[in-house]
Amino acid sequence: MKISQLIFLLPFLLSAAFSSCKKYELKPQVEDASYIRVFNNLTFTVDFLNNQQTPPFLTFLMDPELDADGVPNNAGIIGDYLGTRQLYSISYPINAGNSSTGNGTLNESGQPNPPLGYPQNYEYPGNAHVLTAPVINGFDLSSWAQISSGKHRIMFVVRPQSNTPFRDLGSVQRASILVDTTINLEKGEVYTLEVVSRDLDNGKYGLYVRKEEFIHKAFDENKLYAGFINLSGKRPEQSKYGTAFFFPDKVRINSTYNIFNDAASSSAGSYYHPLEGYDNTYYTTLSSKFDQSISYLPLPMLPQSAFFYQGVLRTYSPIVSVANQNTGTMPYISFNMLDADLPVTTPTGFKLNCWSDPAVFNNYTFRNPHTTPNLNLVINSNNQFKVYSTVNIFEMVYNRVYLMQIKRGIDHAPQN
Amino acid sequence: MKLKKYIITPLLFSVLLLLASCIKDYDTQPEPTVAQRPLLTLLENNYSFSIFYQVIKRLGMDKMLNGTEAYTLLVPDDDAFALAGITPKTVSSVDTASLRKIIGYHIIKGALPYNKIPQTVDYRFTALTAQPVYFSVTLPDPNRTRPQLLHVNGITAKKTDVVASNGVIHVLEKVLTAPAASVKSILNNNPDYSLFVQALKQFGLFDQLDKAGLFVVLAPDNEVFMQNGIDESTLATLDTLTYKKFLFAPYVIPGKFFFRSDLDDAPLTGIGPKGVRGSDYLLQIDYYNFSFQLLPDKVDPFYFPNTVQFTSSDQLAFNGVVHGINNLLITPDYALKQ
Repeated sequence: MKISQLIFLLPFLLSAAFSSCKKYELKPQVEDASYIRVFNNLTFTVDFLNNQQTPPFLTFLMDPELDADGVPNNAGIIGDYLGTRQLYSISYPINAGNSSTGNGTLNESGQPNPPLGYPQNYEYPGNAHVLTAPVINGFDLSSWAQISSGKHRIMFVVRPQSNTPFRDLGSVQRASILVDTTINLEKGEVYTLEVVSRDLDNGKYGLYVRKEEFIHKAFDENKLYAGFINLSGKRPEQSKYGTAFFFPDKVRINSTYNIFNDAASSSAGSYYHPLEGYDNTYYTTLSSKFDQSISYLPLPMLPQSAFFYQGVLRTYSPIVSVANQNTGTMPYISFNMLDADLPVTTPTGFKLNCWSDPAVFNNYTFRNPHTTPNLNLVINSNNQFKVYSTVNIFEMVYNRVYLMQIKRGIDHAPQN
Repeated sequence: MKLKKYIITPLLFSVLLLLASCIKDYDTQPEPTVAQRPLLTLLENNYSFSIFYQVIKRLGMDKMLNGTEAYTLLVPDDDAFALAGITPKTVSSVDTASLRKIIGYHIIKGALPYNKIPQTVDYRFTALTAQPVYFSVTLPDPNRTRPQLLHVNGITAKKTDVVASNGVIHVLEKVLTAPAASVKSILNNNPDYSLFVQALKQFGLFDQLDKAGLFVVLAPDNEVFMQNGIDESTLATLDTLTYKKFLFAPYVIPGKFFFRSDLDDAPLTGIGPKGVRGSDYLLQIDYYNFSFQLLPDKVDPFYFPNTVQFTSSDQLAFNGVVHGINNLLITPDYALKQ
C-alpha cells in the first residue's frame, strides 16, 4: 500500500481519536454508608366514601429543605413518582433497562392495561442511578442505595399523578405531607423503609423501618428460607361484614411443598403430591403486626434433577389461568394463612401459591393476588439452567402478600 | 496537485467533522408567557363577569384585586347569578354586609391554578370569610376517559385557569352557598322536610345531627312522603317497635362526606361493598347512574328496591351535606318486623 493512501486515512483516524469516548470518574463511595430501600405499601385509593384516605402516589424526601412557609421544596434525595409497590421485588434491580412507567402491563384476564400518562416508580432506588450496596453475607443487595449513616429526616409527600416533577408542584401540593419523621441509620446496616397505613378508616399512616437481619444470619446455602410479617393496619370497618377479604389480626401459617406427579398426570389433568413431611405443616402464628424481626422457615432445597424432566426444565404455572390449560410442572411451595382465633379445623383461609414465573410476574396487575413467583430461582448461565435457593420475606398487607426475594451472589453454581 | 488531493482536502474535511462534533447547547426553551393583567382588569373586560365585577366595585374590593397579593376567584358568571335570582338590580339594592359575605366566600388567598390543586376530592380550603370551601378534581383513572373537571362544593367549574398577574379565576356554573350551621338546621329550616324531620325524630335519629361528626343525609321532601301515601298522621303510627330501624336509618350516613359530583370524580374502586353497610342492610350506591338502592339483609322475597335519585343535592353544612332525593328508599310495608 502506498504511503499516500495511508496519509489519506490519517485525518479520519485523527478525527476519530478526537471525538472518541471519555472516561468518567467513578463516583466516590459513601463513607460509613448504610443502605436503604423504600416502598410504598398503600394499596387503597381515594373514593367518595373514603375521601379521608390518601391517594397512593408519593414523593420520598430524605433531608428535605423547607421554604419560608415550612413547605418542602427540595431534598438531599428525592424519590419521585413513587406508586404502590409491585407484588414481587427482588434484591437487585430487574427492570434496570426498562422505563419506569407503568405501561405495558396486563390485567388478570391477560388483556393490556391502558397506558398511564405519567411516570411511576415502584420503589426507591429502583432504577435510579445511585451507588448501591455491595454483596453482604453472600447476598446481592444492589436494590439498596448507599447513603451516609446517622440521623436523617424522612418525609413522604402525597403528590398528584402527573408529569410534573416534585420541585415544580404547587405549594399546597408540596405541603400535603403524609409522613415526617427522623430516623437513625447505623453504619453498614441494611434498612427497608415502607409507608404503611395504620388505620384506613381514620386515614392514619406511618413509616415502618426494618433493620434487615438477614445480613447477619448464617443461612444454609442448600435451603430455602421463608419469613412472614404482617404489615396490615387496623382492620377496616367494612371487613366486619365479611364481604371482602382482610387478613385477621392473628394469622396461623401452614406450608406445603408440592411435587408434580408425572405418573398420574396427563393432558386430562395434572396432579401434585406433597413432599413427605411438608404437607400443610404448621409453621408459625403471627400474633403481632409490624414486627422488626422475622423468624425464617427453612425449607429443603431439592436436587437439581427435581427441576428437570427428561433433561428439559419443568414449567411454571401460567399466571393468567386459561381454560383447558394445565398447571405447571415445577415443584412449588404453597402457604395457607388461617385465622388463628378460629378452631384449627376451620379450613377457610388465604392460600398463597408460590408457583409463577418471576420473569413475567410483574407484568401483570392483580385485583385479588394469590400467587407469587417460585421460591426456587432458576438462572440460565452459559446455556445451562441452575436452580438457586433464596431467602424470602413475605409481607402481608390487608388483602395481599408482597414478596421480597433476596438472592445469593451467583459467583458459583449451587451444590445441591 | 497530489498534496491538495490527498492531504489538504481530507484535512479540511476532517476539520469540518471536528467542528460538527462540538458540544451542542440545549435548545433554549421559550419563556413561559406571563399574564400581565391583574384580576380586576380581567373581571372588568369580561362581559360575562359583569355582575361579579359590579359587586366588587360596590364593596370597594377593586384595590385588593388590583394589587400584588395573589387570590383565587371563584367567579359565577352572569348566567349563574341569574340562576340564583341575582340581577344587577338586586346587587345595587342589597346591603353590603350580606353581599360581602356572599362574595367573600368566593375568594381564596393565594393562586390555585388547576394543576396546583391537590389531586383528591373534598380538599378543604378556607375562603376570605374563614369558612371552608371544598375542591374536588377528577381522579385520574386510565380505565375511564373522563374530562378532568374541577368541582367546588359540588359545583362544576365551567372554565378553569383564567390566569391573571395576581391570581387565577375559575368560572362556576352556580353561585356558592356558604355552609349552614349544621345538617340539623338545614332540615329544620326547610318546611319541605317537615315530614322527614318527624320521621327521623320518631326513630331517634334526629338529635345527633348537630354534633361535630360528619353526616350525609338523604332527605326526601314532603311531596315524596305524600306520593307514598304517608302524611303526618300515618307517620305518627310508625315506630321502632313495629318497624325495623332500617325504615329510616339508611337516610343518615354517619362519618361520610360527599357531594354528588364526587360519585363521578372518585368512584368506588376498592374491594368490598359498593355502598354503605349498616348493621342489617346495604345502601347500594350506583355511582354511574347517581342512584341509591336499599338492600336489607333479611326482607320479604317479593321486595323490589326503589331506585332513588338526587333532586336538590349538595346542601352544605359545617358538619355534613344534605342531598334531596326523589323517592323513599323503602316503604313501611317492607320494613315490618315479623
